Amino acid sequence: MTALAVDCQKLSVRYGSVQAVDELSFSFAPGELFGLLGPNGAGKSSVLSVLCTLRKPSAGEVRVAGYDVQKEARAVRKHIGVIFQDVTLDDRLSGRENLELHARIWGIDPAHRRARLQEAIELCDLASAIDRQTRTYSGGMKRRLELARVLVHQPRILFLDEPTAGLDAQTRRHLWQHLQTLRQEHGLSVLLTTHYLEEAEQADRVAIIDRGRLIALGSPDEIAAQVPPATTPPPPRGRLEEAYVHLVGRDLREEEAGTRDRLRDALQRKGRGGKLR
Amino acid sequence: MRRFGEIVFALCQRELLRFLRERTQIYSALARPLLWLVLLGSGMQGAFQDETGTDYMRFLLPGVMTMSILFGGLLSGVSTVWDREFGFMREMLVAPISAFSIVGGKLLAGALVTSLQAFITLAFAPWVGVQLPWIAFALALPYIFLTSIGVVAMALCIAARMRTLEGFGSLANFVALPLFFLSASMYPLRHVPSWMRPLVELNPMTYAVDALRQIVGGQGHWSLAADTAVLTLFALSLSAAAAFLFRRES
Repeated sequence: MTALAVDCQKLSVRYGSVQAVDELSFSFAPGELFGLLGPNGAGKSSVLSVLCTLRKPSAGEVRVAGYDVQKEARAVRKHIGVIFQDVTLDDRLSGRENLELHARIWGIDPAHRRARLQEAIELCDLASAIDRQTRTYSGGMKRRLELARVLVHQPRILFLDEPTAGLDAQTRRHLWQHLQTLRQEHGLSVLLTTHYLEEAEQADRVAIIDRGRLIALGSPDEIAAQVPPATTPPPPRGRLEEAYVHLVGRDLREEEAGTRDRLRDALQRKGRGGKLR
Repeated sequence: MRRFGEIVFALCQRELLRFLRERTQIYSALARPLLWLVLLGSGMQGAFQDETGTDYMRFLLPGVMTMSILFGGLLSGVSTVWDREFGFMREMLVAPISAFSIVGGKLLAGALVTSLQAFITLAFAPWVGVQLPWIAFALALPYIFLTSIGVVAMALCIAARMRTLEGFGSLANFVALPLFFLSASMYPLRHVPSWMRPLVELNPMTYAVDALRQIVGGQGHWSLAADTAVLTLFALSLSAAAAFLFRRES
C-alpha cells in the first residue's frame, strides 16, 4: 500500500503565545491536487513550513511521503519539491547554472545530470534565455525556471506557496497547463496555497482554514454545496469563491481586523461593566 | 563524507562565481589595502623611522594584510544575509543536506576570496619598497588562510543572527574597528599602555599580525608556534560556533 502524500494529524504551531495553527488535521493521497485556502494570517504559511521541514510542529504528527517530518526530515526533503512565494533563484547565476547547482546539491548522479537538465530546460521553455543571469528574467520566466528546477530531483510531492501571485493572466494559465501536464505524466501530488479561488476550483479537494483551524474540507463542489444558495441573483464569481466568503466572512484581515476586534472587545467589556454596576 | 565534500564544493563554486561577477567588489577589495599602504605608509614612513630606526613599510605591511582579512572577511557575511533576504537560503534549507555543508561552503568560499585579497596585498610589497624572499610568500599563505577562516566564521556567526543588511553592516563595523585598532597593526606592541595590553593580547588579530610580521622580516613578540596555536584555536572555535548557530536556525 502506498503511503498518503501528506498525513497531518492534530498539528499545532505556536509562536510564543500566538497559536498560529490549532490541532489541524487533513491528508491527501498520491496524485491528488490539494488546495489550502484561507485569509491572510490564517496559518497557511505555518502549515507549509512544517510540511517542508523548515519548522518543527509544536504538537501533532505530520508525515510527508510516509516519513515523519521531525524524525526523518532528510528523507522528506528528498521526496518533496517546494516553490516559495518569493523567488529563491540565485539572481547572479544563469538559468542553467541554477539548474546545475540544484542537481549537485540534490546529489543527482552525474551520469543522469545532463539528461535531467536538458529535460528541465525544455520543460520551462527557456532554451533561448537559459544562459542569461536570472536577474534579467521576468517574473513569469523566473517561476517557470523554478518549476523546472524543482523537478530536476523528481520529487513525489510538490508544495506551491501562491505560485501565481503577481503574475499576469497569460502566465498564470500557462503555469497551470504545465502543472496539469506534470501531474498526468509523472503522477505528482500537489499541495498549493492560493488567493485565486478560480484556481483552487481545479483542485481535487480543498481545505479552508481560518485562525489556525480547519473550517471546511472537501471537493470544491462539496464545499460549495455546504452553503445555502444565494437568494439574490447568482454572482458572476465562482461557486467556491461564494462559499469561501460565506465561511470566512467578509472582514479584512490583519491590522484592520485586529483594530476592529479590539474595539469590539472594548465595547463589550464596557457594556458588561455597566450592567454589573 | 564524499557527498559532504561535493556539496561544499558546489556551494563554494557558486559563491566564487557571484564574487567574480561583481566587479566593483573586486576593485574595492584591491584598492583598499593599496590606499592604506601607499598613503598611510608613505606619510608615516619618515617619522617612524626617526623614532625607531625600522622601516615603517615593512612594519605596516602585515597590519594592512590583517586589515584586509578582517574587513574582507567580515564583508563575506553579507552574502549570507543577502541569501536570506532574497530567498536563496530557503532553497538550501529545504535541500537534503546538513547545515554543516551550508556553513562549509560559505566558509571555504569566503576564506578563499579573503585570502586572495590579503595575498595580493603581500604581492605589492616590492612596489612599496619592501623586498621579500620567495619563502616569505609561501610561509605567509597558511597564516593568511587560517586567519581568514576565523574571520569569515565570525562573519557567519553575526550573519546567523541578523535579518537585514543594514543590521549586519552596522554590527560588523562595530566589531571590526576595535579588533583592528587593538591588533598592534599600526603601532609596536611594546609601547602599548598597561590598561590596553590585556585587550590587545586577547585579540586573535594580534597574533595574525605578529606571525605575518615575523614572516616578512620584522620583529615578533611571541614565537611563531604560539601564534599558530592561537590562530588555529580561533579558526576552529569560531567555525564550530558558526555551524552551531546555523544548525539551530535550520
